[in-house]
Amino acid sequence: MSVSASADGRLWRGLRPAALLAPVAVLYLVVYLGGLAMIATTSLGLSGGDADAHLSFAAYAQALAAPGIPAIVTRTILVGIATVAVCLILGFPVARYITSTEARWRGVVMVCVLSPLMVSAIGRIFGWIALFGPGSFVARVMVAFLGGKPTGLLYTETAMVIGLANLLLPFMVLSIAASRAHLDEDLLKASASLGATPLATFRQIELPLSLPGIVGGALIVFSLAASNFVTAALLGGSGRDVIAYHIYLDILVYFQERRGAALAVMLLIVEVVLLALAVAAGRSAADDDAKRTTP
Amino acid sequence: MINRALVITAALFAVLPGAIVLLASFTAGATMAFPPQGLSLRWYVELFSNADFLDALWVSLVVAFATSLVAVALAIPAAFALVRHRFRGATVVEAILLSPLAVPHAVVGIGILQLYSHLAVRADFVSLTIGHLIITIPFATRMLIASLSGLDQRIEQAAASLGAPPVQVFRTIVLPQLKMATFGALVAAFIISFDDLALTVFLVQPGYATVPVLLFGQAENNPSPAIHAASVLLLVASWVGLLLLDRLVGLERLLLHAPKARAS
Amino acid sequence: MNPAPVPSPYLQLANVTIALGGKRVLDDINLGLQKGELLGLLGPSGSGKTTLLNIIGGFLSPERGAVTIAGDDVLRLPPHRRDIGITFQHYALFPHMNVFDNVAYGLRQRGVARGEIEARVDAMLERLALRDFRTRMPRALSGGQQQRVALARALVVRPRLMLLDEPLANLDAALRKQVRYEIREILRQSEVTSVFVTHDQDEAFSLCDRVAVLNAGRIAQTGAPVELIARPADAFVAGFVGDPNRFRARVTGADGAGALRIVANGFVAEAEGASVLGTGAEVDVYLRPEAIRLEAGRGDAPSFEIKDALHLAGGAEVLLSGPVSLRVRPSASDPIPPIGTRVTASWRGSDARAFAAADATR
Repeated sequence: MSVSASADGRLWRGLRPAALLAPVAVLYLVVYLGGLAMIATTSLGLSGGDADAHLSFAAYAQALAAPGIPAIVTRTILVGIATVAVCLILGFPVARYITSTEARWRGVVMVCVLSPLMVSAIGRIFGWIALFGPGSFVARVMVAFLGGKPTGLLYTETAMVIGLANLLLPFMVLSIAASRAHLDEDLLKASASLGATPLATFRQIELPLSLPGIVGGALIVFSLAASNFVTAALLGGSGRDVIAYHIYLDILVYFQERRGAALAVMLLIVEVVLLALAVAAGRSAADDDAKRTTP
Repeated sequence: MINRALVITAALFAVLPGAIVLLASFTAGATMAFPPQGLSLRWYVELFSNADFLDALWVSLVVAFATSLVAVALAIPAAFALVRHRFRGATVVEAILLSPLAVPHAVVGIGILQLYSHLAVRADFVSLTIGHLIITIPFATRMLIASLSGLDQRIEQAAASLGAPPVQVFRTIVLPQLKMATFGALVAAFIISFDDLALTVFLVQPGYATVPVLLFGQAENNPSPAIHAASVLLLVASWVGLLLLDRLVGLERLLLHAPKARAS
Repeated sequence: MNPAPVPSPYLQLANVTIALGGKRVLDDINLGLQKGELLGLLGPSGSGKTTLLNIIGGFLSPERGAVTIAGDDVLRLPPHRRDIGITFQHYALFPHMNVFDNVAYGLRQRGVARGEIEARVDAMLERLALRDFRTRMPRALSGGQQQRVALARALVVRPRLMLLDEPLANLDAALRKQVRYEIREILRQSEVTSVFVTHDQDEAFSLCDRVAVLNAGRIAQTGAPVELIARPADAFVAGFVGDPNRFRARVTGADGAGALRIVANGFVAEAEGASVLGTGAEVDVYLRPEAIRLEAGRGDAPSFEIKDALHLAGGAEVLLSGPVSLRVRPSASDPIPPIGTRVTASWRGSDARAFAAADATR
């Protein structure tokens, strides 16, 4: 290892890392970090908005005290939890399937279930609108038998959860699959040979060993669902705001830049904390694996 | 058993909305509802004779192309610096480089919007592209880092020992081996840029809308099956990209980090 | 140990057949094991031995055939009701449980009372010298220790049959020899009927009372180790077992009862083979290095020359060049002539096994 390090140093001395990273660094500094800094300063009253600029936490107070906020935050959290639940119920069996060796349709299932990662998100949202929005078969059934509104399932929290679960399922699957990749099938066979029923094997062996992936996946899905904008906006509509949509409205529609910026900062902090926890969960699992192998 | 049923349900659930959009786009009727009323291509015709759409399509394509090219052009040297030079603070730099993955696109968008208005930057191809770069460079960099880490450095050392200066070694030895990853990164960046809404919606101004932003606006004010037709376009483009990525880089390797090895 | 003579075998496999992915992996397997016996399943990789283990254990269903233990049809039972102890090649210890909980697992599944669990587990740990590791986690154990835990875990529930999948494969060579005997000891003490699966003949021969040799899904021969060495049933067994010399020859005389005179490149010798082999037949002759006697300075013209002598840990191996190349392992007391000496090589006819030459040379 050390030999190649010194060899690298000599080999690539001409191309200094600073020079290679400079363009990206400039871009990031100015646009990305600069942008985030601007959000922070706006939220602190130092820029943006109509009033003159001076440091103040008024925007934060305003954001937290606004009458609709508790409902919005509650809705965001509940939608997030429901999305995690759906993703778990569907994602666990899929993760198990694609990591088992005797699965015949493994490739097909993988492409299907992982496709939302890359395939147009907005394109698929209109599919939901078509399926259970106004004028659809589902809507008509709901109106006729369930006393539903003519807009069907559209503009409901249920629609948001369906759309978000569809979008975020791959993240849950990937997280669980990663932790399962080291769940040796021999462990399950050993458990069975010792007399454990399939249910007992699941509860005592499979579940505990998949837990890091489940926890990590739940954290990722929740944080992405809670910060989601497009899906929630289109399927929930105004009046069913989640936090990200509300921020959008504040900035572009209500012209409450400072309040919106304050909310954005708070959302960002929560999101980063959740993702950091998710990474930590994933990392502790990897550590366990590293120590698990036969010396 | 339940397992099998859930797996099938999940797979169908994942592709269902896309399938619905596809079918609904061929409706002869005037609503977006599913099931479609009759079959016709009228909405595709309508779409491609719509000036707003064509303008937006043009903007989307130009920005996506520019974004993917520039993103990869910046990501390759960055990935190289991180993998081949073990300098102090490399982990921090890498973390910052990949950090946009953890930030909601809307927040990135708001930040850039505020920056632009502060600097009085108007919306145009360049400003849109710059915004898209922030969300595509992390993906491109990650893919290239993975690919670079897997290269055999001894080949580079052999070339150097034969007298090739570093730039030549890079050009003739490293770059060709990165071909697959580079194309993959280009495709990924293109799709991300083409489809993005959460960030772009904050950066557009009249005359410079992208297709997703246009659809977002139309959805509330003017719902029509033309939206489905446009969505099909987005879906087809991204499915093609997805399958290309699988062919080039291998989805399993990219996402699951190597297939599971079985002890015999 | 002599089990009381039992008319029908304890473990019986009859006509077990299975195909996987279009390939016939096991073809009409018939095996019988007496109670308390240790049987080895020996075969190269791909011979189907792990598949057979999976079938007995309940993780695969054969297309045809029956598996019975003490008369019970085992195939109709799911794996968790078969009462078969299994040790896996990579031990498969539950990583999130310590040694005690690993070993206690099977007892807990059976609803055994806590006090009794503790007593039995501790007794088993004591027997396998694991008492000091009672609360350790598997990742803190060495390979040998993990293997003992795996054994303890399987044995503590007193299964009616034990299956061991390559038990020594993952241990380093030095450990292997020692662990070999420990395993045999403990299985004997527990009086549990056991089937070993292995590709290593030394393992099979040293651990087992009988060995069944598997070749491409079929059982080539079953018998005690000495039998397999002395009287291999076919060319595969002859070549697989021991480390024999092999050369092509032609039969020049047969007495109809199996004794043959053969000639290879002008060199005349004796061998034994099936009675159908007649004059003119082309044969492959398998000859163990231990069976060859070297003599220097005899009257008749010596045909061989000593090319080289290797001094291995287990003894010397002498390489002869001549009409055929031979490896000889002389007994410890015989002196080895210096390199270049011309010698004669001789052996008892019955030690050289001849089989009809296969077309594909392997």
